[in-house]
Amino acid sequence: MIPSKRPGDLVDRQRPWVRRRPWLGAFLVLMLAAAACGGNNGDDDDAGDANQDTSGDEGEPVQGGTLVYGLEADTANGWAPYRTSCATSCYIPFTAVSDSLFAVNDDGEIVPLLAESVDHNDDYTEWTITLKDGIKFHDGTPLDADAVKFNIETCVGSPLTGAAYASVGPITASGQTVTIATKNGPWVALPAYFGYGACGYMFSKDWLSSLPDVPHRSPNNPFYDAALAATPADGDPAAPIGLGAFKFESYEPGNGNSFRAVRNEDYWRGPNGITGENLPYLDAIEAVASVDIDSRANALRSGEFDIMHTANAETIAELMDDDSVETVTSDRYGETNYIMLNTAQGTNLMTGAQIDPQGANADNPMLNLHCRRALAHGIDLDRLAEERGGGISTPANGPFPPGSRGYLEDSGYPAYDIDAAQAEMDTCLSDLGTDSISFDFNTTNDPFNVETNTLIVSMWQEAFGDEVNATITPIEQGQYIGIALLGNFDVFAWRNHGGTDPDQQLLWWISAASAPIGSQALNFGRFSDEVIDENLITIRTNPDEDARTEAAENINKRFGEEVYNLWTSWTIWGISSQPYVNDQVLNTLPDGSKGIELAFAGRHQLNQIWCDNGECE
Amino acid sequence: MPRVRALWDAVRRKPGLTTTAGALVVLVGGWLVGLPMLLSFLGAFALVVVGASVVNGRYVRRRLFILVPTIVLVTAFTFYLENSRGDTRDLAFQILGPGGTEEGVDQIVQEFHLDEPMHTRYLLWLSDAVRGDLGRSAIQGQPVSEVIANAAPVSLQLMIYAQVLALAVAVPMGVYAAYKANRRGDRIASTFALAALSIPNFVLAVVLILFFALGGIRTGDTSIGSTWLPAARYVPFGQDPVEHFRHMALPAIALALGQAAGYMRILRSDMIGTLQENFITTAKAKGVSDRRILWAHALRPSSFTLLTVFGVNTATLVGGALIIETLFTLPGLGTQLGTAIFQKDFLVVQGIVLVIAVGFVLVNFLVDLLYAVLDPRVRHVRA
Repeated sequence: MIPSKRPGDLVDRQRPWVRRRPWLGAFLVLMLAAAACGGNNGDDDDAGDANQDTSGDEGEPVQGGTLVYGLEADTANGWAPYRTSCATSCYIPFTAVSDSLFAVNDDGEIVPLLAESVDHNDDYTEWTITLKDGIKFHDGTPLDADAVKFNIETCVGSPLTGAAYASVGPITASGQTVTIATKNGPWVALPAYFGYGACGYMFSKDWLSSLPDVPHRSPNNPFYDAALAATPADGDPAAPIGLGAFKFESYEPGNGNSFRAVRNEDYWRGPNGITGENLPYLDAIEAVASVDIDSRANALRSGEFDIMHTANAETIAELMDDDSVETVTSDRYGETNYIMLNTAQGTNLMTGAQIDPQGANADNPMLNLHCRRALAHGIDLDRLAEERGGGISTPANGPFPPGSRGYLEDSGYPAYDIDAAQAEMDTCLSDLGTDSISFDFNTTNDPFNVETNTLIVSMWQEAFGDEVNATITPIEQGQYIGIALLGNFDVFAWRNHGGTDPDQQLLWWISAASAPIGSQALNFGRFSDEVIDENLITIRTNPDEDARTEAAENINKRFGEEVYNLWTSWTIWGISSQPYVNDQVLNTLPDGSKGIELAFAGRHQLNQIWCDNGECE
Repeated sequence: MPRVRALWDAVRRKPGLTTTAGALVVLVGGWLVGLPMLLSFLGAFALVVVGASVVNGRYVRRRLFILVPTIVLVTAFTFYLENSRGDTRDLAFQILGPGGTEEGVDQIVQEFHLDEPMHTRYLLWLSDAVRGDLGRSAIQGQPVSEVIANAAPVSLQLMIYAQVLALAVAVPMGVYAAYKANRRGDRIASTFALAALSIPNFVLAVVLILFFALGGIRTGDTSIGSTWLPAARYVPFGQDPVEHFRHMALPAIALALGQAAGYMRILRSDMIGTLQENFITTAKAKGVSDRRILWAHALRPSSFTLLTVFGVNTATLVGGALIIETLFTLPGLGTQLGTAIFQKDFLVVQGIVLVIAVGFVLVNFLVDLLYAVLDPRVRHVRA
């Protein structure tokens, strides 16, 4: 969490001195890093206090108003979790129209939300989830075990989300109780997979089963249901039926268009609900896709948007300087920006298959550890944070940001050191028998990203001169993920790995997910590392919290030693709003305890936002 | 029957006036009864074609004969560009996105006929397109015709407002500059026009946003600028007409100013030539007032180049508005086209390019017809 001018205040109203005095900004960065390091034990007390101060400061909530939310993109292709590659902008509508089985509290722990309780057997191979009674979807159907089972099956059976749920075994449903058996042994963090991820959000079974591409309609799918397949597939994936604070009203895809949802009078946390709360406060939410960051910020400043989000650090810094809007920032449990290196070679330690049978990656200098270490030593992360991070982003030294399990103040990752860089480069060139290395450096064609990565290349040129020839190759966003999946790259700018539990990183790092180049693999860099595998399995199967933390730290150190990725910064997200918008990120859980506020790459709740006098204008 | 006869006689006597008036009635009437905008436009267009046919049927038929192969050529070329890159299975994989399976790729290949030769695919697409089926967007999940139907009115409105504004500024300025040719008034007008032409519309848009939406520049206690107009978003006319025009004002001005400057310079130049003609000298000798000479005698014959450029610009504005629409978060065709290109949503790209191409050809066809409607000399020479 980024501290603001007023200690403990999450909402930053005045920080003009950050932008105007670069040296002071650099000092602030150091202070922030120091403050962040203080949260190393995972308690994150400072952040917790800060969140506490924002709640209830703004008076008694008033009902009414339509909140217009400026989104960075329109990233959903339909709103069913099993078919959606949900980015941050997709989670805003998702959070409006539905809730998840589990929530995350302010300590980063998974706690029941739609679930009443959750339990497991002694060896964590069977989980029993008991659901709250009396919750209804927007179509009037009840949230029962049968509906939850169907929801989970769609995600397990989906080609898009199935890999993450490959350890889900047989599911049984009875009344309000769902039992999930695991495959491949214990799974100690299973509820985290049904927390804040898309598949944790519950949707009406009637709606899901009416969609044309639901896995149960596909004859080759393990969940194929002939009777269901014979029913009309007339559901509209763009018209979700959830159980959230707002009911879907309309959606028009594309930039400038919006997703609109209106108050759900029968919300389970509302006056007619089961918790005795009075949510939501707003009459409606209209989420408008506004892709261009300047347009989005201008629309906020001119009053067209009531609230907006962005991960563009420069804009966040500008908005923090702007007295006319209020800005909340956070990098809590967020993603890490990094440069992914293709290290595909040799044999997969888990599957025994050749990772690069055609030798497509044989000439990539990133196969050499000394080359990787040289490049890592050659990046001045402080300068990068200052010049491209608006003075507010924090240099990263691993995949786990401060406050997350596995974070280490010193992960062993090569720090900026020109002499060490040159020494490593000399060894690299000597090993390869050449006087220079060349590689393609892919980035998305977003101008900001291209400029950022061009700065990194210029740092290498300053450090190594002609010994490093990196060619920046921008790629259209639509193709980008596909190229990573197939492993057709040398060096690739990337952002990933947010979350509360390191178990959620298993599918990105385990050797089993490292398929040969040309085949789809979620371990995009295609490393196969015994130490990482062993520790990932410990994290998945060992219930001992200390052992899991140690395993995560071991992974962090291993990344530091082997430099499979070049870490650059921890992603910071900003939510800016008009002064009349209150409790922008407040998340009080049904039992009155504090839920996590802005976290997981820009995610926050919408059901507790309210506007002065019940009017958002 | 006598009334119909009288109407027909009126059309024959004043074809330009009556059909233009009829087209306007269709547009306004269509809006009042809630007719889809595209349908109203088609109705108005048909009326103008009828008017032109009355004037010179042979000429209209000749233009129509060229129209069809032009549209086929443009769409074929676009289809080729969109479909000629890479392996068709790669294309299918891109359509599916992350998580795409071999089974899914097979399905896409079959659905989009990607295993057929290029010309077969084009003919299949064209035969569907003429029946109004432009396929389904792989990314947005909507029929392409629906995507276009939702976006086209926004772009059409922006285009119309920009053109009306441009003409409203350009015509008086052009006439005035020609009247005061090479004198101070002309030089001032021409300097402004040159400045407006030199500024790209997206730069102008940013400046307009700064000064009319964000409060402008502040120095101490003094600020130059205002927050009169919104910086983004689209409000449909039917929802709130006042807000609609407030939201369209800045993008329309950003688009119109450059156009106005160009139109003004063209009109000025043509009008200076016209004012040297003998019939103008005769009018002056007869004591006709300067105002009447300028507006009633010189303007009409001076407006042919302007009309041609207006026609060309009208359709290109849709594509040219891409940045403006993005800057102002307007969900028009330009925005949709840009997004579809980046997302490789090729059916949407093809559909929008088809609409722009057909629109371009039709508007220029209309301009050709208007030559004949506007000027008896052209009518008789071409006949």
